[in-house]
Amino acid sequence: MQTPQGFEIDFVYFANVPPYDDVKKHKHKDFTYHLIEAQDDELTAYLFKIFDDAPTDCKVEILFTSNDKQENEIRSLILKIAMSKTEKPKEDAANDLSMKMYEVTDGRNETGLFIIMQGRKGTSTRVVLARFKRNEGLRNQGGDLEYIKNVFTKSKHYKLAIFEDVPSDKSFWKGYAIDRQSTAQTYKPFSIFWIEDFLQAQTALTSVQGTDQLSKIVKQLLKQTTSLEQQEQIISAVVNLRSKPNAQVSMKSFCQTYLTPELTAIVQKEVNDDFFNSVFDVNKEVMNKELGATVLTLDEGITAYVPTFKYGKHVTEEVKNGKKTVTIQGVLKEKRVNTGKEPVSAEAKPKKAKKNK
Amino acid sequence: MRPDSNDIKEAYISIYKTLETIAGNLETQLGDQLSGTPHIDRVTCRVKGIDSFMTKAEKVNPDGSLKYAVPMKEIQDMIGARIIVYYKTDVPAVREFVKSLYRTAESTTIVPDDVTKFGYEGFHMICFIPNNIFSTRDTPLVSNFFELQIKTLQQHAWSQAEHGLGYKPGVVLTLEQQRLLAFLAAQSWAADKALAELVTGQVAGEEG
Repeated sequence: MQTPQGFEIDFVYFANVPPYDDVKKHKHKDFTYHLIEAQDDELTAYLFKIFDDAPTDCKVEILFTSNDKQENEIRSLILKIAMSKTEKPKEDAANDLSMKMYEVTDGRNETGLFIIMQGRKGTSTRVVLARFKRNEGLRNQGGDLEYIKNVFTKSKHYKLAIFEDVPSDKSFWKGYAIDRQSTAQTYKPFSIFWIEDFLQAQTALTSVQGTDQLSKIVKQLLKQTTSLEQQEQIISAVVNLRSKPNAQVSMKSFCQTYLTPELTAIVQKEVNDDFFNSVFDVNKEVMNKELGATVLTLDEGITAYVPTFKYGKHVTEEVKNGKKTVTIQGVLKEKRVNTGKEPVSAEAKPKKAKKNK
Repeated sequence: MRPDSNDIKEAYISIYKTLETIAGNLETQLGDQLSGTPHIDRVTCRVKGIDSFMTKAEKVNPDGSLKYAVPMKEIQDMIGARIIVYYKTDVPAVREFVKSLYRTAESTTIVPDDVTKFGYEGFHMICFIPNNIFSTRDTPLVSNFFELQIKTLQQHAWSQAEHGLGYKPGVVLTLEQQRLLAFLAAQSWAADKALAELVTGQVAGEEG
């Protein structure tokens, strides 16, 4: 049976996966699982929608983690589902995947409805993995299939991953993921449970690559922007980011948190969607090198801060009479005299009490 | 079923320009990132020529079956980057830096499999093309990977010279030819070792 987007669905698998029990140490055969025949009903329509929408739903690019020999256990199981011509090897691989899910699920994640779907279109094969949080209120309502239908229609919390490629021994290394439960601020737990622990994958960019590219975009943005207000907004965004240890960001979360929609629109024009949505750890070293400030301490108590990446353009160093001197050159935008007191507006100034004569 | 050779060739030609753009961007990025690193002789990035790709796509296993069932997916060195360093002692730092910059699927130090033999040596990695360089989301034919080699000047010189002789894998060389090639490889290996010892100060200079 075909999805509305023309994928021929070969395999649909469900399993109820409980949190890992250290005492019972379940085997996959202990989980309730089903192989579903696609048919013309509400459940199938819902599944097909998830399957067809997965590429637009999943924004975060992920890569399977390799052991340096192009091997990854979860990728091998997904590849088996994608490449097997018959149902039995697919079912075995799906059971192994649900067992892996069981091993990484702890009490915080509760029992989850784990789904695997696989379909083909042209030379491409797509495998979609999803985990729906089990809604306690729905337990034991009718049979398992009725339960599944209820979870789908009532649960808004799910994790999803899609892998699509031309099947071969060297393909299916890259995918995309999403957690409908997480916000940018809570990305880390999602990344640990779903991407790292279960999928044995990692986000697409290393911290060095991501931070370097973010820095380049910020510098480009500063160059393009003539408004002092916008420049201050960008600089303050950088200062904020620098002050957060172990921050995990994407260009998208950076824009949403610190920049106006106008500046965000400029950024989006400069980068592709995959980079815009890619999540990476901020690398302090790269950040300081690319967007840090050089502090110049001169004689007579003079201190000047110059963004390191603007240093060569605005600062000239010379050696005169054996002493290094510096000249800072630029267009003066604003001059403030630090009085050491909080500025007080004229209206707020307390009036002097009239002296009683 | 594997597409016929013409279809494979056409598919490769259709993405060739894109591969050239990616290779250019990778070369610029690696060059920029390594610009302050000492002892870097050069950084280059190239796209595998169409004939060379087709020769590889047509390779067969010892049993006569085709080596690549899906050449467009299985040949991972459509784009090849090479970093040439002065000394063997420079390789570990460059390797670690490259690993911090790119996600990798494979890394191998290639040395002859017998201690009594001399031949090709180098460090090879299969890296993922980062999405800020190119997003492969809508272009499934473009590989997700590029190959990166790190070699010393001596290793590079030997492999280029050997490649220039035109000996192809599978061609049976005479014993004399094999011994001469091994001799040259041994000279390169010894030169690398001597340079490494000099650069790390293992060979002390005389005073006075």
